[in-house]
Amino acid sequence: MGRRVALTGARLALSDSLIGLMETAAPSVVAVVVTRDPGPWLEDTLRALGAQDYSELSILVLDANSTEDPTARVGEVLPNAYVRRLGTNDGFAASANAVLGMVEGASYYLVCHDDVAPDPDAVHLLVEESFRSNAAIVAPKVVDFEDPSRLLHVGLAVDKGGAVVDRVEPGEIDHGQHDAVQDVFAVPGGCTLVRADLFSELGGFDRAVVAMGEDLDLCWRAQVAGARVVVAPAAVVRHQERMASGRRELDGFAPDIGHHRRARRHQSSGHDRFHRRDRSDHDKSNRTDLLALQRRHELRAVLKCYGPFHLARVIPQLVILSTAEFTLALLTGHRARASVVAHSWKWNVSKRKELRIERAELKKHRRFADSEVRRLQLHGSARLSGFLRRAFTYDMNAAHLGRAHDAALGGLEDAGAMMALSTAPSGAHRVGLSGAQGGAPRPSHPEAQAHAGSRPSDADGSRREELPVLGERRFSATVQTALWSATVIILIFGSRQLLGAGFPVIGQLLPFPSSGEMLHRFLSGWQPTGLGLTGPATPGLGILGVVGTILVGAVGLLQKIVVLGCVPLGAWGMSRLVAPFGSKRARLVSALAYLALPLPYNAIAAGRWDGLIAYAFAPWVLRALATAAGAEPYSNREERSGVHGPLRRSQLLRKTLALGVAEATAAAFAPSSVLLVLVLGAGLGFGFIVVGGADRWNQAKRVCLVAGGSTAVTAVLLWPWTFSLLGGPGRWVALTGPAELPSSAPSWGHLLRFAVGPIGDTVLAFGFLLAAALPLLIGGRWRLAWAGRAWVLALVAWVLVWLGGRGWTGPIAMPAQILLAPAGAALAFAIGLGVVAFESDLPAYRFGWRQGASLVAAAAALVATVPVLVASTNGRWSMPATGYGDTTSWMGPAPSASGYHVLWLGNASVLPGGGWQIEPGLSYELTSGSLPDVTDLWPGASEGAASAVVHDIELARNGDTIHLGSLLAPYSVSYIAVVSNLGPVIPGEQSPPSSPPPSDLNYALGRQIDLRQMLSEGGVDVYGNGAALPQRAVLESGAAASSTGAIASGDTAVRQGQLPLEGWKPVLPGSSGANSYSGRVPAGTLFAGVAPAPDWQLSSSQNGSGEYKFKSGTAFGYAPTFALNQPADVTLKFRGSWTHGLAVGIECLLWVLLFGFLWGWWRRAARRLGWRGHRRVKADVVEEVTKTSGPAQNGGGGGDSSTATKPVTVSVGDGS
Amino acid sequence: MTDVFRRTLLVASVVVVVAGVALIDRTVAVSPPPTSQAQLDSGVTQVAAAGVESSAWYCTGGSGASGGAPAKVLLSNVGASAVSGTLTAFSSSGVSGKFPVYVPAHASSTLVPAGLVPGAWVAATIELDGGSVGATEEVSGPQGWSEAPCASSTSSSWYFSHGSTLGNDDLELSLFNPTATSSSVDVDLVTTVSGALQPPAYQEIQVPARSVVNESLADHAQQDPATATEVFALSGSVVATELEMTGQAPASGLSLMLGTPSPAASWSVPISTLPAQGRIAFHVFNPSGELANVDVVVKTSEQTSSPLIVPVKPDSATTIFANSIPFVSPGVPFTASFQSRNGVGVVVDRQVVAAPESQVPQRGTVPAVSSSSDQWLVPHLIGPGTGPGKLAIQNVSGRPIRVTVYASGSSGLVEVANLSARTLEPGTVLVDGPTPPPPSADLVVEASGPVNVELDTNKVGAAGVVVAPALPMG
Repeated sequence: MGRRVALTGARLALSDSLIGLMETAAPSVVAVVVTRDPGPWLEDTLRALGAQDYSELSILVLDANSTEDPTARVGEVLPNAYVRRLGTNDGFAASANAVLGMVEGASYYLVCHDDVAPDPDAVHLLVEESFRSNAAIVAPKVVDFEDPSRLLHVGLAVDKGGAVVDRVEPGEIDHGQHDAVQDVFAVPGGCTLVRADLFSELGGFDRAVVAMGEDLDLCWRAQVAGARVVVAPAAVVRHQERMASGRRELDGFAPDIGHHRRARRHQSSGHDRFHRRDRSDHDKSNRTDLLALQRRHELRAVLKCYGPFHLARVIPQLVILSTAEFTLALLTGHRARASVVAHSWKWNVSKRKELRIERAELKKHRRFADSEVRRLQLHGSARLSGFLRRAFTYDMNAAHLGRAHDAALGGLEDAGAMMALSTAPSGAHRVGLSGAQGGAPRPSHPEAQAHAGSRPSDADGSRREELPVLGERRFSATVQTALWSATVIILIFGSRQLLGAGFPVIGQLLPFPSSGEMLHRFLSGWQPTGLGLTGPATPGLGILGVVGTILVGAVGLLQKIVVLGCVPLGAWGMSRLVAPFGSKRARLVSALAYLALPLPYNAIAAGRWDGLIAYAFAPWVLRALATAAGAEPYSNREERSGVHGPLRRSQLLRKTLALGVAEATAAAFAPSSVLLVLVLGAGLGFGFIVVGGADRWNQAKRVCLVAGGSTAVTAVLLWPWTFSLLGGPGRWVALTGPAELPSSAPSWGHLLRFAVGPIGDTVLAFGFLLAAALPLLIGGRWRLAWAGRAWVLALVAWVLVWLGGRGWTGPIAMPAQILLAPAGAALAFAIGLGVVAFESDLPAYRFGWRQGASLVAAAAALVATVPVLVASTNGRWSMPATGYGDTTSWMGPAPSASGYHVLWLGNASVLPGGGWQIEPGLSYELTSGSLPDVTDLWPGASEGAASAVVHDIELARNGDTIHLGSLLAPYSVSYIAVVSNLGPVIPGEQSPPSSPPPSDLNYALGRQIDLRQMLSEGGVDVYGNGAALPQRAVLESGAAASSTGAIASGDTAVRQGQLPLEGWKPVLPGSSGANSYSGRVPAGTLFAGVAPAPDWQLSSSQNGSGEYKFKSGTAFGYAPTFALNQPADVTLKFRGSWTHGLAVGIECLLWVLLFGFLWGWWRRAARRLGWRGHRRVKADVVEEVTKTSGPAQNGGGGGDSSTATKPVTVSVGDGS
Repeated sequence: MTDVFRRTLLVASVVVVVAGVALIDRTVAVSPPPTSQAQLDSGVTQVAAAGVESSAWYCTGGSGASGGAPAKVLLSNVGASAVSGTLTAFSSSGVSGKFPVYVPAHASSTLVPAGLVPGAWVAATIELDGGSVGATEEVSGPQGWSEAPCASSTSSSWYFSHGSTLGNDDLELSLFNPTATSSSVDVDLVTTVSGALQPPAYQEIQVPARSVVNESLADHAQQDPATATEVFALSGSVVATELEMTGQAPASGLSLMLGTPSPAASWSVPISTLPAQGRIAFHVFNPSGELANVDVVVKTSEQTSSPLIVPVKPDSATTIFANSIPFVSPGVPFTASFQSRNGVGVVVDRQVVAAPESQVPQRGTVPAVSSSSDQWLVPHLIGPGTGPGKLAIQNVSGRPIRVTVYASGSSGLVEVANLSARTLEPGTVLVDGPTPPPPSADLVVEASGPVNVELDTNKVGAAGVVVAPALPMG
């Protein structure tokens, strides 16, 4: 059966015409070899093709605009081959597609890379199999070019997400185990026989797939079109996989990627000191780009080839998996991996129009439903299972980057094979155009160099202290991942009930109102706190409002994030704090130790949000201060390089500003953060002085300057709230929170164990102290110095909180939960130092007690984690399951829709919300409606009119009145709730910590003859006050003169219990805490229980005569009253001040300006540092050695050494 | 500085600080917050200070106008300002009425709640717009008369150490809830016949807000010569009084007793005089679940007895007869002190029975005193008595105390000549009567230290049968 094949192109050695006709009995095959700047391997490929025993084989070389014309080289080997030079380089797929316009009459195309060598019988075996199986696409068994006994591919498996998995193991020896002909979902490129009519029908390869993935796309579309794809292992092809292995520049067939890389290379020029990394960066970038191409094209295939139904099923799964992969990659420092994932989606989304066209085109050819097509797909997620397999078999680097990293670490497998494998993206197959001979490199491990005394110097060339390192090799990323995973699981397990059901209303965990309400409170100049205050609100409300808006109003989720998120944030901060030590183990151990402290969980149990914020904030502050001090190893890049010397003034200023922004953010939610920073600064500064050193005074000064300066920045950023906070009589209480009674303060032993709650009250928790003592015992040089500073800081914090608890610090008595955070951070920091000392100092000692001490410290640290582990079984960290939201819900909207107050009394440690202090151990707050919400958490330093309520309470406590209800009636206090437990006591279910108010309080309330006790169990006693005035009420004209007189006479009659409050009718219903109410009011005297009286106005716009403003009076010393001569539709509203708006505007502007300044500074610094902070340098150096050593070896073996060492600036890894 | 030196210094410093603070922490104990005076005074009846915004008295235990023991309430104002207020009378039939009251400065007013509202039993709340006013009530009837203080606060528990249902004796318990909160009350009895009783009918007695409920204990403690009573408010709080109405002469009498809100370890009876052919009995009630070992010391002006150790079993009462004490003889005043050796709280009262031929009332019971004060208000008598007989002032401190007694009258507080600046040695009792006896004058006792005060009255069967209540002043 003869066929005529017409080739259009340049017939080598004959003419420039590419037309040729052939008559043959066998099906004609045209081998299409696509090449671009081929190396010396091209001749091997051509020779192998020329040696085929298939007579009807024509060879067409398509050159994608190589720099040098390869025609002569082709002619030298295959005088009868055809060569077509394409004017442009549009990538491999587009170049290969050129065959469609050049060849006529061919039965098959054999699409080849230019670095393959088919066995002489390969083509005829493929053709035979095509006929035998009626397969449209047939692929050979692909083996390693240098070692044909090693299998590279025998077809490919694909999962529903397009992830490609090899059907052979990396480096698998060919024993004939895969020699059966099989249907496969896809076959790898390199050397593939494709039926020409199908290729033509499908339009060839997808032109958008410049490289990596065009074979998957073609096979998938072939499957959709009803064609078979088989692998014929009898046909063997050797393949170098130059591009897939990273040994060939990607630019050749991936113009867009190449352009991107060139741009980045240009961008980085001029920064000479980073050029040394370029060689290693090249490999990384090449590999990353391959990964990026592979991932995006896999996703493109999915988006293109599925029908709508399956696409709708698959896309959500892919989104979830990609998000998880992205997050994990970020968390584990593989930012390149994360960017690859992000790029794949971004690129495909940008091509959505093109995809629609492609889908429509494919629909025309669809013969098989997706359910049929998917028969050959793998179940589950091949990417996920491959990732996990690599992670557990090798390590996280291998999991993220392929197994090159593992090869570098262990050199366990054949270098060539490993190098090829290394470039495989997550188990993806290799597709490449390559050609050079030469052995693959085996990068050496940096630690090997370190052990040999050749540990790399810093990027700036300065030598750092050489540290012998114990066991770093064994401390693989897998161990880290496993530990982190276990920690995350424990945290989630321990918080499972909180994550599911949310928080009960206890302590400071108050419900969040809507994001709009929080924004309104921030912007409004009137706060309903107490009886109403004119003044600014904390910017924290603004931040919550903005974030809540971003979360589409999911304030419940927001609360979980800002509360529970403090725990990982603190651990992250601790990890960052210890990062300059250069020990991954130290980072991990420090962070885990910090997580294992009972402190945050006790804060959760007690509902202390400020304690959690302090916990999250402390390591970051400590890091900023340590960096400001500049003591080794905390020094910035410039300092270490000696380029700029010690920290310059401008650097200190920027550090101060940056810390100030962070401090302001924390202080907006927990004002005590301000004191926290000062304590950290003072403690660390004191530590510098105590520990000594040549530059100790300067270092201490810098620490104190930055701490003080950042606090000043905070004061400015939080202006005008700061001034209102500091200007009030209760400024210290507003900053530190109400004081505890000395008798209820934790003992010294409890403080040392961080047992300020239900968790950690066991001797086991002393283990942290033992562990933290290790660096004091075995540390040397800066380890010892920092250990000393950490201990001094911890002791300062402990002693301060101990003194404060005993009432010996005057009005400044910070709660233990807050001031223990610096101690906890210092302790975890010291534990990390212990690890570094163990790694670096211990080997220098002879065997003795120090080794034993290390073991004891390790055991102690392990034992100390037990309390928290045990506490995690609770699922809510011992936090009460039921809060006062349930217990007091019966208050509901009653008693008046016109508003009422609830007076909350109790010890601040159990009182829900904030509150003002009456005396140590007793605080109060007035809430509008039944329960406080988060806006009541920061009551400010001035009580305003609410101080009158305290006076009345004191009267009752002193036995001076039996009419407290009448006294509180003008303040619309309908209920008095005396809280004695953190949450309701429910026998058999929960018994929250008790912190009762002074014992005379309930007695005093009980003897009031006008209060009705409504609830007297379950941790709260509630008294009802039937005499309370509605918050907005009117006394109609004609009421008893005595009633009217009661208003006029102020509170005289009220105090005697003789105020005839009957006759007051509620009016102007509305939500509590609003600053405007409207409605119809009958003639009479309107009373509004909102302060301050002069700032409220009543207006009416009746009769079209414009707005009429009623004249106001003042009742009971705080409340506005208005006389209405006739019924009217009125509006009662707060009269805002323009100065408040201006102040808030300036405040917002300050934030924007400072953020802008810092952002610009960070961008400039990042550009200068190559997008890396100095924190990353050490890790980067490790990466650098890994990569540069590869090309160094590679250079001796092949022709692409120049390519491998070519400077590029695309950075990969955790520092990019 | 070498690493070795620095290491040693640091380790030593850390150890010193940690150990040093630990030592101080253990050594310097943190005392719990002092119990406030208000808490100390919890349930104790006392006169509110002059400067208070408002004060209240709760008077209960009297019968209605047609009953056998209607009550009069005496408001004694020893302050310099007039005090006005409201009296709200509540009857056991649910009727209530409000009436204005006014007490001029250094004067007194007498009110009769039983005449204001109809009902078998009447209680009253007196709300005043100031302090310095004491309230006592007097019940009188055919069987005699008795005086008791009104309560200045409610309580969730009340204890009575003695009452008799023997023969024709009647024992009425009044539960008055002057608050706005409904109360549920359990009443337990400890009888000599049947021991501890918890009559179902007396469990969870509902005492609605602002109401009075009366129970006749004789219904459940029948023919019992000494019934002790415990009142527990399961919710809310109440005021409880007992009215013992003994049979006809020769042993008739009325005893109006305000309960004791809480047991105490220390009690005293400033002055007792054994009547000729009569007897004095001290009832010691132990409402706790532990054995109480009570030391009883009797002291005359010349002799002091050795402590008599009286074991009082849990939930039981013991009677100690003064007649059995060797040196206590008729007509010789003596002081009795009761001290629980093991700290178990008890409740003590004294019952005096006069000779059969004596003037009624011949039998009367008054609570012992468990608290002391340096200022007392002794209202004048409003009953048939002729006013101040013997005033006994006992120094319960360990140091000499100077005492001055004032008579409150139109010219203010005037020193009583023979009771001015008298010095009392520790443990001694001043027994004297004002000379000349001020007519219807309230007395104010001021001392430089804690004293106990008791005022015996005239024209009763024997000294101590009726004792005018003395009210500590806040």
